Amino acid sequence: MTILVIGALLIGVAAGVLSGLLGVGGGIVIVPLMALALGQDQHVAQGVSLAVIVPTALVGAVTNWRKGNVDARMAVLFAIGAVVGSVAGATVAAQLSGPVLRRLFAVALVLLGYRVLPASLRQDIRKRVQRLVPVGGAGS
Amino acid sequence: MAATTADQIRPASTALILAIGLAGGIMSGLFGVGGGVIFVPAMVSAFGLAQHRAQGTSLAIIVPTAIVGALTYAHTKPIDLSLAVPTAIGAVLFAFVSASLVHKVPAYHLKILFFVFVVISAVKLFVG
Repeated sequence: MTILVIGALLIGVAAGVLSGLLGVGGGIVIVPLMALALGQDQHVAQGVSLAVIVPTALVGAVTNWRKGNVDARMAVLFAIGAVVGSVAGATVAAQLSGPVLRRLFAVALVLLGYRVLPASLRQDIRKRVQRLVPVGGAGS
Repeated sequence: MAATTADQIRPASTALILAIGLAGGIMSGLFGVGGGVIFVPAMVSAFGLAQHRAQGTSLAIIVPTAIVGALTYAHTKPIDLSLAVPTAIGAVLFAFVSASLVHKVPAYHLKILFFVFVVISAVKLFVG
């Protein structure tokens, strides 16, 4: 119990530090650590992650709003779609077994993590992959 | 050839915004993440928002999205607050700390290191 609370606090610290330094969201840090370091099952890890994202995103949104960095019209329209999608995604997740959801998440995690790589490096990787696997029209 | 008005806000199609929002929301609910990885690039590349405005707007989108997502998860099984509360405290406090360090840290290598962590985690999760 106490160890779990301390572990959770440390995961929060890691998520806070990395989101500030790398511009990543909390979820990409929280979900794998909840699952692997604290041994939580996949549904619990993801539910906790979403609950943690609420106050962290709220603080960030308010800070950005004050600086005039929120496009209100864009936010409302995106949010309408996103809220509907979120219910759909979470409902699908609830239908999946823990192990299936965990493997699906593992695949998504690599794709999400790839986006975090520096843009110059991603470009370099893309070039190398294209040289190895010539895609139609991509040859130079 | 690229358009010459790349840094101006393009007339955003409402249907396209709703569709991208839907995709980000599905990802958020399905995987327990915010969805910023979809929202931010879409706003920058498809709708011409500046990066910092896209990030601020993305956070505003994530708030209601994550609330609804968390409530949907709670419908099956209550959210474990003994985990969520300490995690949130750590995350909120240290987001402020790290924001002030952001220019003093070599982000390039940190990003690569983070990707290594991601790949190792993904393999461990996949193998179970």
